[in-house]
Amino acid sequence: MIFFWAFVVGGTICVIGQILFDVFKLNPGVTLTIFVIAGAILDGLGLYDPLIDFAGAGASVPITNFGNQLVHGAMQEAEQHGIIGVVTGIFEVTSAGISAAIIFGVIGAIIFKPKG
Amino acid sequence: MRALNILLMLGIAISLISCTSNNDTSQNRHDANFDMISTSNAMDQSTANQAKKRINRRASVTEVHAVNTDKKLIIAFEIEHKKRFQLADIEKKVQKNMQKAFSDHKAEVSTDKKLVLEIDELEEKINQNEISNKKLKKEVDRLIKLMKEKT
Amino acid sequence: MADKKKKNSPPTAQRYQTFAKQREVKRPLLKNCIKAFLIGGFICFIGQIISTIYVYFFNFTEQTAGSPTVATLIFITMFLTGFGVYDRIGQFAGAGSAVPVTGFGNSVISAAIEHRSEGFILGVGGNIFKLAGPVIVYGVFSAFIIALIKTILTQWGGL
Repeated sequence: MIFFWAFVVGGTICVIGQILFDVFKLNPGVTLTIFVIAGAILDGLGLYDPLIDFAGAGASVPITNFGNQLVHGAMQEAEQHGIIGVVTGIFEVTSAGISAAIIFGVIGAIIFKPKG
Repeated sequence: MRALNILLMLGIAISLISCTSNNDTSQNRHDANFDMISTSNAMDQSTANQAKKRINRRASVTEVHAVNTDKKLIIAFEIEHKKRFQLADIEKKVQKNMQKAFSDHKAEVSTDKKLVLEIDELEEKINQNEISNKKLKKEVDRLIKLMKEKT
Repeated sequence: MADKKKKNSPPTAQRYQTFAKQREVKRPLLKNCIKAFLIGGFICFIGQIISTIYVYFFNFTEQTAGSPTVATLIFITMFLTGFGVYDRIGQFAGAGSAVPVTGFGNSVISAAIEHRSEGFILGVGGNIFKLAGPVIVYGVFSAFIIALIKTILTQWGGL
């Protein structure tokens, strides 16, 4: 069942992105930035975690989850250290995506040759 | 266009598979995955059994596993998929209830699939007397640690 | 905003704009959305499979399986990007391949590969976040603002 909802919810989020591309003529960079901010706001309102409980990877794989995790890290640290934690804790939970992208980016640049 | 067709078929196939597998579990809902552990052996599991009975009274619960040591009680349960939006609230409520009901134990509740699997396995081991009291305590501590992990 | 621009431009330009608008190829919205839905859904479906594998066969909970799942998806993306497959998927799927975290991975990895000829330090190192930069910058900044508001509300507002 979770597989089905992962497909549907993940797909739906991508459709919203496609509408932003086609109807509002936004370029991908702006759209993704909006998505990350939207994810952060949804988590601020406490709505993103229920969605992950419901849809699993359907909510945790789209880039919106990046914003969600950034807020999560900050809040987690803020609970322990107060306001300072908001600054220092931001990457606490998100590190996986960014470090994986950097590591595999550099490895990719070593292995593969640019096209054209 | 052909690629689109293939994808459509794939999407339909995935949704069909997901739905059929769900029907299977919902049919034998209330008698499934709810085994009492014998209370006769050295590790008395009557607290865990009582906890299971209590949680199973909730209509939306589909699966529940629990194990206790003399001081700790760990419970993992699953609920119907459409109720999962309220999962965090339900978990909190159950945690509170359990702590109240079994105040002589430290109760820990989880709805994580991993804990459901692990506690199920642990129940099996206790049932077959494959685990010593000391090892059980260690195992329970490990699972509680697993519940608290966040990232 | 578009109207304002129109009024300020000379009449010939206005006529050209309306003419261009007529001739503009209408993007097939519904078809694009279906493609985005299927590809995006499929990537999330794969992610769910990977995370289920981590829960069942490794010592990860649903909570902690998220990080290795994302790392695995980006690892797969590295090969798809390197062999030029991801670009082709992107042309077909539009947002379906851009919105999942694999799209983020692809933008980082393709920038790294592309700028390799300028050397590893300034080329790869300097340009790796060229495309993904805005996402990180504004993601972090908005998260900071939101977490700040929430912390203030919970700590001093007694919420």
